[in-house]
Amino acid sequence: MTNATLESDRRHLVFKLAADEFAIPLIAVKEVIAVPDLVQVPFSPKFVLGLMNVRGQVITVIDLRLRLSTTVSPITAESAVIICEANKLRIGILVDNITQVINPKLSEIHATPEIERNGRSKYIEGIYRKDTQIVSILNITSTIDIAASVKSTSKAA
Amino acid sequence: MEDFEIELKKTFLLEADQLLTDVEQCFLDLEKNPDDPNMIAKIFRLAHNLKGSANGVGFTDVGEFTHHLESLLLLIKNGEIKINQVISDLLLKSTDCIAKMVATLGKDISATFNNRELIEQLELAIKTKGQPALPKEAPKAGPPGFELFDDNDTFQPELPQKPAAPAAPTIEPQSRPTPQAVAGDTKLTSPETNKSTTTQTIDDGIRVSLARVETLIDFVGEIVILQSVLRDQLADATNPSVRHAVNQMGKVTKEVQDLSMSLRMVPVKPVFQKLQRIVRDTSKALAKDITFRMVGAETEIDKTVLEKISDPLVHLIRNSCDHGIEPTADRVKSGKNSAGLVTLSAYRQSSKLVFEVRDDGAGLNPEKLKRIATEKGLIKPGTQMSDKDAMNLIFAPGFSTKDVVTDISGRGVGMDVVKTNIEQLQGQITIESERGKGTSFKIYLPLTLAIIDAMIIKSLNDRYVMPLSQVHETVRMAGAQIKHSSNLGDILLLRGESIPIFNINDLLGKKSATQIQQDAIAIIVRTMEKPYAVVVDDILGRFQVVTKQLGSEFQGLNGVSGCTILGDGRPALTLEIDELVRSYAKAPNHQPKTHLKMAS
Repeated sequence: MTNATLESDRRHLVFKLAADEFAIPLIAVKEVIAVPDLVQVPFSPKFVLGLMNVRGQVITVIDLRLRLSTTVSPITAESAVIICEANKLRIGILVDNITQVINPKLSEIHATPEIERNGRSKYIEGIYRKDTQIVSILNITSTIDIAASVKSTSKAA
Repeated sequence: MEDFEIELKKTFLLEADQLLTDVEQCFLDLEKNPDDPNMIAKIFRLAHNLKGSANGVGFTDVGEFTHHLESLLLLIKNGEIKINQVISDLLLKSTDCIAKMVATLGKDISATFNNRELIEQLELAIKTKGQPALPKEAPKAGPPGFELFDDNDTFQPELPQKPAAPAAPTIEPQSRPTPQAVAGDTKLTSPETNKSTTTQTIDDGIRVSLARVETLIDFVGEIVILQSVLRDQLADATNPSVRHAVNQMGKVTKEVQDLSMSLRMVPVKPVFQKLQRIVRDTSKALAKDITFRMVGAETEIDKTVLEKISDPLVHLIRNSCDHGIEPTADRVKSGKNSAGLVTLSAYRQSSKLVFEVRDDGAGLNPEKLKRIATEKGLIKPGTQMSDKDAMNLIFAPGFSTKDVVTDISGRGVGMDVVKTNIEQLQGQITIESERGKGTSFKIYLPLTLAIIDAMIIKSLNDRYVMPLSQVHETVRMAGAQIKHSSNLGDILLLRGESIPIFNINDLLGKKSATQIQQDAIAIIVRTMEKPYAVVVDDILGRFQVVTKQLGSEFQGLNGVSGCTILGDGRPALTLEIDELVRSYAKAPNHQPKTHLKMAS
């Protein structure tokens, strides 16, 4: 989470995976596009959906639903690919639905509960709660750092 | 340290690198022409700039050291000290010292240095005006080189075709890239490029980051695709000015694409200059008299290829000096010039760039090579082989003809690494040698790694890129002779050879039909020791593709070496077929297919 010196800019993009809502810092979002045709990569982890061409750059798209072990629903017209950039890495993430942009106050963000939920908690760095809405805030850097998974899947193949 | 201070220092280090290369080149030239006033003035200016900038950004150790160097240079400039062997050595050692400091600062920006010893040598040289009393370095164990030199020695390598030195040397015409006429011509009669031009053309270039160039190339690639879509869509358009504009746009786009690709090209000169220094140092350490001739230093090649060919060239040059050129006494006995000649050329030959390292030394001895290979267990005793094959033995791992491991070469790891490095660049290396006359190594490289010749193949509905360097030939499966073997799987019989068959879909981990389609094609690959065949569903043709690297997230991926964007805008992966076959064959659940049938 950006340790913003200005109280005001902690904007996050909120999206849905199945029934759960997640958020990533807006500063990491480069682009949002409709789901394109993807070229598959052999011997890559299941959550690597493939490659796409965005204005001359070849970008990898991962299925965030598989990466975070949520249920996978079919791709609809609402589904989108968010192209994220963190730590010089540019990766697209497939999500079911983009809902809103929030700008939480520090008081509205809480620490992740200890309960391990399908091991995905290593990617979550906080919970945003407002009224009845619960949004898991993702650590985008570790979420898109897929090199280790790629390497181990490739070796096993 | 503030951010902007770090920026300043980093900029200095970058420029210092370039400056030091220039300075080193000047010192080497000065060694041959010690009285050239322009050269001396230039060096003094460079050192002065270096000192000022170093102090200006806060690198006081570098500044202090350069100050002493500058004082020495001032005396040389005023004619109070004459350049001799000792001074020359000291100047080069000083440059090395500064270069080392710059390199260390590049890694640790707050490093400090103690150069007391070298500073004392400089001060002594200043005080004694370069006369004898300079302390000699303890000679290194082994090479007898140092004892041979007096301090007053005016040792100069012979320049066989040194033009009568005019007061202001003119620009040597051969600094242009030498055309095909050079290929195969061993005795160059034009004056050599050894002496670098003092009336240098002003460098009006700018530094551009390679990343920026690559981004430009990406975008230009997209323009090419969009333009061709436009052209296709407008093929039926009746409006003549629209069609005209689109056609013109196509031509301009092609020019822009060629131009942007050419931005990656740099002259080979910096590497050549580095090698000049290496010849000098190596020949001194070995007490051999060696002349180094460079041809074609202005020839251009892709920057990434140049970086990777640098080490192999260093090794080849060192080899020529060490193993190739005989000791002076032997040369004189066989009636050769006492000075050995090592020539390094770079030139274009059709679509390849050729680097040639040629020496007029003793040449390779096929019998001796066979004997050594047998001794090292690399070949069986009594193996018959042609002289050419015997010469290629030097590329075998573990081969070395020197009995004692010298500091220069002879550890036996060199030549096979050289060959591997060259092959990784999609290049080849060949040897020609004649006993008593000399040896010539030729490295053939593609002009750029960014564009490769490749085949687009189909595996089910997916397209993949297969570099032509991996394809030896293609064979239609219909009508081909196939043998079925229970333990080895299917074998293709081709001109008497038994070649194992793999299916591309299996190699890529996809489920495939067990039947080969009638129009399937097998690609024969001969890059490994044993050939094999890969059956693909279709070959779409042969193309030149712009290679792109996959993202860093795919570092550990096996069997894929990169990707490209095809003519319709979709990406396609470039396959490394050897890797795919190797992992497939190793897989524990690998069952050779025993029921590969032709679909009728």
